[in-house]
Amino acid sequence: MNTRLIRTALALLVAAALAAAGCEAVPTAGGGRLSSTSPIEKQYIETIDRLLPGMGAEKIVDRKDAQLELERLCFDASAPGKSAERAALSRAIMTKVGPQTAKPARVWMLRKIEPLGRDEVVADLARLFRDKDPEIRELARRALQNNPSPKAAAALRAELATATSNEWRVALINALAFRKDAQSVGAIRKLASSPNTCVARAAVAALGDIATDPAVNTLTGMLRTAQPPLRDTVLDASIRAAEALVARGSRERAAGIYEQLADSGEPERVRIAAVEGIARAQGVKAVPRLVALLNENDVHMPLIAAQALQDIPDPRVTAELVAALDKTSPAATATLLEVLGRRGDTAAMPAVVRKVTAADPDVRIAALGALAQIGDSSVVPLLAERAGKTDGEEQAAATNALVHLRGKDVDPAIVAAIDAAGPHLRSILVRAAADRRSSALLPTLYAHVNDPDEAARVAVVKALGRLAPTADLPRVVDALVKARGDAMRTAAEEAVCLVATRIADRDQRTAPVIAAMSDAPAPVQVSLIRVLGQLQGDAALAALRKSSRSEDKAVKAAAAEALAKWPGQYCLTWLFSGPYKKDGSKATDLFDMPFEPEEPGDRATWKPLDIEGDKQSGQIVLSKRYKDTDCCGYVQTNVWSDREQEARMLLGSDDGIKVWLNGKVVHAHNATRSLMCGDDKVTISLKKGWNLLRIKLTQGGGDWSFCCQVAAIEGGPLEGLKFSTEAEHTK
Amino acid sequence: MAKRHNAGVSRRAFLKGAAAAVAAPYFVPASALGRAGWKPPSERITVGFIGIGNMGGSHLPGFLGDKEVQVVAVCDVDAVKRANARKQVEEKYAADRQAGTFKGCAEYHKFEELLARPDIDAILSAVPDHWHAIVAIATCRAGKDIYSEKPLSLTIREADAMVAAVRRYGRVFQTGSQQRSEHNFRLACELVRSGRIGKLQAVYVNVGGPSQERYLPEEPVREGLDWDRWLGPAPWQPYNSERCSGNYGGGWRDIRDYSGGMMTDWGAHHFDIAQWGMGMDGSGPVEIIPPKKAPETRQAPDGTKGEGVVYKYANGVVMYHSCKAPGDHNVNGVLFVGTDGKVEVNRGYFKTWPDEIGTTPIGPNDVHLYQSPGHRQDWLNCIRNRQRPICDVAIGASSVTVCHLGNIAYWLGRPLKWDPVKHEIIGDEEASRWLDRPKRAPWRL
Repeated sequence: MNTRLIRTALALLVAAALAAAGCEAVPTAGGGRLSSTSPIEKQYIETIDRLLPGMGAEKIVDRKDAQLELERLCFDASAPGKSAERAALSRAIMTKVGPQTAKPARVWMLRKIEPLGRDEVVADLARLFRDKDPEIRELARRALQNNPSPKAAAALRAELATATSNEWRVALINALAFRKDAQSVGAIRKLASSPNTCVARAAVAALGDIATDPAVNTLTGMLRTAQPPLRDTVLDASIRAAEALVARGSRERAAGIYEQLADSGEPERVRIAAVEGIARAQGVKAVPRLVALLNENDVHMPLIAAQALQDIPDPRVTAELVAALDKTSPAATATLLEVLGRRGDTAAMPAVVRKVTAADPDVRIAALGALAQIGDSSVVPLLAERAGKTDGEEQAAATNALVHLRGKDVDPAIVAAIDAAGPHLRSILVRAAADRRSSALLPTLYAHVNDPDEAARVAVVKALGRLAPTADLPRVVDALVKARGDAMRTAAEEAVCLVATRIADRDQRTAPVIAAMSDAPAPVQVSLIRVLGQLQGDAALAALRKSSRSEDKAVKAAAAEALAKWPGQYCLTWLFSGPYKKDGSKATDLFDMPFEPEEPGDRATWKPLDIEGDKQSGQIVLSKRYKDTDCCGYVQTNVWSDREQEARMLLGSDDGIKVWLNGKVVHAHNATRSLMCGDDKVTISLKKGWNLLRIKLTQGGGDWSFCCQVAAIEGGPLEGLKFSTEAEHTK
Repeated sequence: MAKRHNAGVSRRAFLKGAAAAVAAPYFVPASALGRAGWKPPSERITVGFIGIGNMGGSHLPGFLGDKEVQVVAVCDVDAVKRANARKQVEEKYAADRQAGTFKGCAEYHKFEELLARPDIDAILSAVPDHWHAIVAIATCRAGKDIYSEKPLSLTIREADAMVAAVRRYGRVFQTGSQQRSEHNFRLACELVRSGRIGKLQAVYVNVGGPSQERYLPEEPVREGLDWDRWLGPAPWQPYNSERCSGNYGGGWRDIRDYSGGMMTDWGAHHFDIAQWGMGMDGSGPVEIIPPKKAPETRQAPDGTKGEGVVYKYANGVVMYHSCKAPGDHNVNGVLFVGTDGKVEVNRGYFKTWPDEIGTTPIGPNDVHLYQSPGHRQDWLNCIRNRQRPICDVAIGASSVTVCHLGNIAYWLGRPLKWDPVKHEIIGDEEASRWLDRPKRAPWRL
């Protein structure tokens, strides 16, 4: 019967099960008692009986189907509204977990009971504490640990009372701690003074988990007396117990524990925990203490206190911190200002503004930093003034604040400040405006493209590159045309490229640049040519080729340089023959050693090279497939040329490379090197029609790879070029 | 802040306080490594590695090349792995010193012994998931900071306990969900949270499925491995090399006793980004609905094949664990869908619909998310300034809770209602029992 049918049958039976009452108790196969004989339970028992051989199969792999079928039943029976099914299945499972069942099946069923069983399984699980197999006892313990029934806790307590081994005591204590079982505190408290360290530690840790008042009393008592190695556990348990007190509203009592630890000679980690705890327990009341810590001559505590002050959610903390600003050392004041900034409460702004002109430079810088986070448009004039009158770190802090201020009124305020500023400050403000990356500032930035200050001009143009919409490309190109000086020209070229590359169509990208070429003086044309080289596209290529025939030497040279960098076409379609080796010969020896493809008659076997090349880099990594070392191989393809012409071949290889074109060696480099496309550049003569291109590649070790690009002699793609590995082209 | 506060106090003292004085037995000689931009030993953060498998081994070279860090100890239950790791550490430092040898990295079988060393500032924990909480909480108790590999925990209650322990002891905790430190992911989330795609309606997350039971034949325990300690708090099982393999595509990540499968393993990356983009750190869904074809999906837990868990949030946003989005779109990582556009992001991939959403800069009044200088560097910075790193423990907890809830819904095959404030499953007492798992004695949190 499959799982779905079983579930359907069980669903029909559940109504009967709900009606069943006063079921007789009968002995179970596990030595316990069958607490129900309802039809649904009988059905489950029948199913489990059917599954038992599989669940307990000797071979682990054979257990899968049966075990997963039971798991499915358990998951389904655990759904809300199926309490009768859940209880019936749990009882049914418990009838089968006795020693008469194969161990793998017992283990699996007890694991399934762990998130399923409730009251109905407790007695049977407790009986398994007497099982001979320690793994079964441990599984029963875990099943009771995760069983929500109060009876499960009682069973664990009863077992703890009679446990004889320390390992078992630890396990049971852990189970009661997991349950936070208040009724076990009495027993566990006694075990906290056990001579066995493991038991004592487990007991103390459990008291920290349970954290009822009696448990806390025990721990606070132990805080006074506990010695290593138990002391660490007592400290941790006390801190956790204090957390529990905070959670249930006993904040003052928790604070008392934390205060005791904070003022003690305990290790730093404990004092840190105490400070964190004080902040959580007392909230705003903890502020004076935490502020005092900011003044401590300690390496960690001021930082810990600062983070704690930042974390207290109470808005009243802001007023407390503001009040403290004038009562602390400069270092502590600076920290307070940073905390106020990070808290983000704008109510602190007036107080922070006052500190912008404090005597101590660290305080001033911290105040400017805080304004970056809580300031608004009203502080723009102040920040502008500080940016103009200061230098170094303080100026950077003021500028940074201008960059990061938030609010819709900030940009207009910055524009007003720029308009009112003298040359020095205007330059600073324009740079800040550029760094804000706010499109609302675009008109102002355009207005300052020709700012007298070069640094400001460069900043503006850089910002335009990031901010200008694509529709503004002609304006940015115009800025490039009018650019003077290397820094400005370089910035403008970058800006044009940035804006243009946001346009999907390559020819649309370059249209304003090409349009600007016609009337531009030679130095500007050189700039525009560099931009076209970056942007690529057919129209750009045509423009560059035209410029390469210019009478102006600089323009001609720039065009030639751009064309030389213009990519040709990578050949990614090859046949392969090899690898070839010769005993005792290194790769460099093989370079001039002829193998079949080089021998008369060419009896070599060629097969398609089924290694996908990288379309971006042109790289083909032979070692993806061929793992030999000190070997060589050959690749071959056919190159189509519309006419007889010269072309450029750009090659790279790891390791050596030898190239034949139409049977003649045109390049040879017996190298041991890594791959760099374009390492070798060769001028070749192509005949009209198909040209046979064959390459020999040697491999010493490591990667084995190559790339081959064919380009027009002046650079760029070769018109009409195509590659083919079809055999008839070689004839 | 640290600099101004502690002028005249060495960085070492800043980190360790009085404890530094007792660190002498393990201290690296002052002459060591003090060249070429390396910080002198007294200013470096001393780190111990716990777990030197796949991820621990991946982290180690980066830490060894970091001039702010000195790796002083390694710990693993596998004697071969820890010996190899120590050798790697000592050879690297010997090469950096341009000296023949270097001795200064100790090996530990038990993490408790490593944590007992007072001279260690911080821990890199890359143990299997079922050990995460125990190691992390013990690390906090020992007063050390921690970078803990993702996913944060094996259970939701473990995650809660880890948050409590980190806050209790004021430790700096970085969860290893490093995608938050990558530009693409931050930008995607900033765009979503700044409203660039309009009102967020749906999120699609493409990761693998939940973990499962595995039936693996018993094999002889490999030499040098302490199998009982590898299992630790998990139920006892006979040894099989696959069971404790850290390799992707199988191993312990696929086994329910040790991990939540790809739902948590990769979910701790992509669900984490989804939570970030939704602005749901510290919160989570209110309803988790498994697919209708539950038995088949659960028997073959492969979230990449067909319908998956659906998460509903209180604000109306719906998140789908799915490889497909409407229009037969193959989800690449995380896809955010809003009323006015879409953002999709993955490692090395970023796309918006329309394009302009992605090319218009984030302005000053937009949402600016925490900008990390790199996941490890962010952690090291925070160790020095005691602030919270980008993937603080509470963030790791929120994200892994989403993953675990999905798993519970998959396993049990029924919808769950979740209270993201109280951290409780509503109206399903038996499902609530999956929020934690009893640990094998003697282990406890």
